[in-house]
Amino acid sequence: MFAIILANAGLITVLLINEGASQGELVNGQSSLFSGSVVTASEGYTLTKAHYAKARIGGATQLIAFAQKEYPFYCEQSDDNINRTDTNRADADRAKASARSLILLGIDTQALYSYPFDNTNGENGRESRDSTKNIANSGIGLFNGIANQTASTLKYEQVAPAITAGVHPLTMAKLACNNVSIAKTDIAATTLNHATPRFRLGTSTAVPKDNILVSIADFYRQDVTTETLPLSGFISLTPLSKEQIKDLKSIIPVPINVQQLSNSQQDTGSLPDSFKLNLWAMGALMAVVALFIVLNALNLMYRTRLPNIIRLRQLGIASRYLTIGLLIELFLYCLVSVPIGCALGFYAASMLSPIISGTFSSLFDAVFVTPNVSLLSTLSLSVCITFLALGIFALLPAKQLSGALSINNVKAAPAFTKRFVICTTLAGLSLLLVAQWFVSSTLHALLFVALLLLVSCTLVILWLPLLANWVVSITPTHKPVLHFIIASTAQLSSRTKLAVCAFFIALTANIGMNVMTDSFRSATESWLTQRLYAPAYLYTDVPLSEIVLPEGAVATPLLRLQGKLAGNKLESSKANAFAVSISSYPTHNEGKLAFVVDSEVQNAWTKFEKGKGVYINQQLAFAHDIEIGDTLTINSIAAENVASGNVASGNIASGNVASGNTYSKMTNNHYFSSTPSFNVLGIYPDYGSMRSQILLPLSQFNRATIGDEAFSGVLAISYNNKEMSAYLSNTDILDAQGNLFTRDELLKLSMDTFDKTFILTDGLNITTLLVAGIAFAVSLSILSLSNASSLSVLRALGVSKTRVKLSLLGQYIFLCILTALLAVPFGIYLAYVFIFQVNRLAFNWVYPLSIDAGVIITSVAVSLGIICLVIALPLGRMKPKVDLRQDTPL
Amino acid sequence: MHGRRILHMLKIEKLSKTYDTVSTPILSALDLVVESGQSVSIQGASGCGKSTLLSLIAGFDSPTSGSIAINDYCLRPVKDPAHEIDNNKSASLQSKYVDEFRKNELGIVFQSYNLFDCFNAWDNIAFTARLKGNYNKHYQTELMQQLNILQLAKKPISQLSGGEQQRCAIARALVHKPSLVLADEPTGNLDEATSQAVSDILFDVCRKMNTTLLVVTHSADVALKADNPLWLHAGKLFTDKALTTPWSHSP
Repeated sequence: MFAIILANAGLITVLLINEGASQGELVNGQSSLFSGSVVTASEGYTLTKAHYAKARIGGATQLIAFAQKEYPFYCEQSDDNINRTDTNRADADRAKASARSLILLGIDTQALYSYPFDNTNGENGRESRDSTKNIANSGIGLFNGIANQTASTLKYEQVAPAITAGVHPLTMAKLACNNVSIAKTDIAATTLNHATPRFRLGTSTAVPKDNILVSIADFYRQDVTTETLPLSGFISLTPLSKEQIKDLKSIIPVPINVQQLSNSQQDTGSLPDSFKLNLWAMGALMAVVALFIVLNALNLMYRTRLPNIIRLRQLGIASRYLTIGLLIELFLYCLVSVPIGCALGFYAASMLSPIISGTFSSLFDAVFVTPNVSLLSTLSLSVCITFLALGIFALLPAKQLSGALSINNVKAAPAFTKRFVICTTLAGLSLLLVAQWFVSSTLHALLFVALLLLVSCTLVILWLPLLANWVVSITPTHKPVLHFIIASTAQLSSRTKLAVCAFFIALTANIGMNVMTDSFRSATESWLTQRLYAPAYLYTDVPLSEIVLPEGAVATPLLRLQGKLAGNKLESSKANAFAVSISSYPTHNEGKLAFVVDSEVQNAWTKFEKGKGVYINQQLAFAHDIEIGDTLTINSIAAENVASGNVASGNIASGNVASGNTYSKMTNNHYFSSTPSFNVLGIYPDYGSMRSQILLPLSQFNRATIGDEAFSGVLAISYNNKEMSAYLSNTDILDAQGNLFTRDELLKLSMDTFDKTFILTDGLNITTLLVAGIAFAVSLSILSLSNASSLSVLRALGVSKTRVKLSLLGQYIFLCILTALLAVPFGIYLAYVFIFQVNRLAFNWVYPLSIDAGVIITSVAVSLGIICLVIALPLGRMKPKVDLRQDTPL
Repeated sequence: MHGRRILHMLKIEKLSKTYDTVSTPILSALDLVVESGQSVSIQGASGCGKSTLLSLIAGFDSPTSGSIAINDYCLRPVKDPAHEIDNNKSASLQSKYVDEFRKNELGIVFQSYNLFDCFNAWDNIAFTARLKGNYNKHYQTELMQQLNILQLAKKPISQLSGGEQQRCAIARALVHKPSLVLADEPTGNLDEATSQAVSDILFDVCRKMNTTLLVVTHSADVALKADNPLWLHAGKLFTDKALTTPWSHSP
């Protein structure tokens, strides 16, 4: 029962986390209020309330007035702490100091409530209407929901009442609080002279990111009026038709611009595939481990029942009655255990949600939502699946056991000869090597991982008794208790196969994951250390031409263009894999020394400098099977306006529409000083990025024409005079234009981000190991009961109680060490498969496999620690009795 | 027989045992003295306390009152008002004391053999000698030859018959040269012919080795092979089957 609870809890936790991630991704991909059309006044004009009223009276009822203004917001303490002490005040001051600049967006909520959905236009009328309804309902729901909450708490407040406001879930995750206030800075003071407004936040995907949505009545408060801050414009949730725009222009007396916004290229910040793959791999791993745990539990249960079952059979009870009885018992177990397991799973998932949410928002710019699943259907599904699985797995042992008429029939276990084991091992390894050749997709790679685990389990089952017997043969016989421990472990090893398998899989996966992560970390660190050649880097939104450099500073910009790859090799590729990023790379000496390359042609760098070829990253090479020497055809080259266009919310008033990346369609000559040759000179590693990338020498970009357009926002800063580099961090000029990071800071930040990425998978990995470890320990404890008579004989022959307990602990640890010894080579092989098969096919990058003994020893030590901890408790309570009348052990 | 300690005397005085669940004592002021090298058999009805007596002598259980003295060792109740020094010993020390006694002075033959099925016959037999630290390969070979089991030395226990297993158990009980061998129904699981053979071997070997033997049995044939056949009834020992003559020490 414990096994079923454990298996269900583990499985439900991982499934819920996956579901939360998937739902979060769906939520993140939903349309916002700015997904139709935006009407703004032409330069020099403003829109007023009168214009708005006129437009609506004139029939444009789909228009919703909005106004926006950027303020610095800081997190407030909860209402319970409203009477602040000095300490709290100090905290509040600190919070104000770390204020975050967000856009306060006021919309006419009355217009939103009465939005005319039937007037929705577009080619996909019904879909568009549904989508629009969702956006509106989401917005309306937000205000209704928060309004109720506010009503219940307002009466306790001693200061300014909180304003109902909405934010995007991602913004909420970044803020990490439910109440915000506007910091009274110089900017805010000009418009907010009275009590600082407080906002009670709710989440909605309808709200653009980095915006705080309020009703327009709350927006225009105190000194903020339509005179001091005119309306920013009108939005329509659906795109306006040409006729509607024409009508609108005739109704509104001032010149207007209508911008059609597309939702298709929104910066939705989707969860990286690597993370999803990790989660699913963990889920699958947990499922396999759970399967072995349950199988093992069944085996143990039947073994314990064997004497009674045999007696019943000997008394004439038909085996089918026993089988039915055992299955009914299993069903009852399911009914009791599954709800407990599910409840534990739900609880664990809810406990983990804040951590996961934080990880998602900080690392992936993605949302993790507490999964919304139907409890009844999850429960029913769990009961059905568990019972079905148990039924299937129990049928064979139940049939075998219920048919047994004597112990000998059941006890007989096949003994494998050394020759058989060696032959099977060779066959298994050959099968793996052959199968490895046929791996050509991510699915194949994952199936190969499953095959690897299956083969390794088979080999463990075969090798464990042999290995244990070999250890028995070399154990000194003059240490009789030690000899007994080793010998009985060898015997135990044949009865604990399934528990060993669960533990083995978990440990192998743990070692594999850790070796892979460590290899990835080492590769990334050394790659970054070499690649970051400049003493500092500036990350800025300022256009390249407007950046002011301090005296003596030399800046190397990173320019980036977009293009589309064409060619015969791409026919089988997915459509979205065609996009490539064309980035600049400096050809000065520092750049040359910093360049890390996997493979290249002779004199590649010289050719690259001269513009006779390009370097491509592994992602591009592996995804499209491109080799060195191939010539690429790049179409539709365009600039990606990163620096000025990606304010997620889109500050409409200032003209930056949230339509994402816009590409200007011009000729190649516009971008390059000379026509580039896309002959592949070499392939370089580019860890952490999912983009296909081509490197061109910086000198080949036409900076005069596309400098601002192609500027990626990253600037490598160095000084001609090396002594001046020491003063770099104090350079206020650069700090004022963006975020300046020294090389070490950037390296630390990158590695911190790297480490955070794996926190969750590490957590799940340890959980799986813990579950398998507990199951292993439990089954060992149960088996030790059947071994109790031997322990009593030991006591009868004069072995002390402490020595018996220690011997038992030693026995378990010995079995763990044996399992770990077998898990280490397979763990390393698994890491190899992860790096060179799964990563290669799923993410299109590989890195050197680095085997660090410390990492492996840590994995094994953690698993042994878990086992010791779990076993030590029942062992402490165990009292091996001494009795003359011992039963023969089964 | 080098390194052998001879049992001077097994001396049981006023031994009583009352279980918590039963009001009447199962053993009541029982006395017994066994001289070195003697064999004693104890018969009696089921539940009369035969195995309890063996358990007390082996130190598996503690008497309610009275004492059991074997060579330098003396087993008393856990809380004996008459022996304050023993009472001051901590429980773990007392337990260690009894463990040492079992390891050094005792050989036990169980009804159900209780051999370790993870060992072969040789290692099973050698276990007690290795534990005591007086393992002697030559001596063990000689002993196994006497018991006619030398040819089984390398066989796993599961492949031995009941009679063979019991002979291995007898060898294990004797190989470390104990002062006293306790046998609880040593032939209880064996057929008539095997039972006779095994009991003959047990008594013969003990006599040859001058080892004191205490056998509890239901079999009259086995019991009569002992130097002193005794009957247990109402918590006391009798020298005749009619239970008319209580046992008394006659030096």
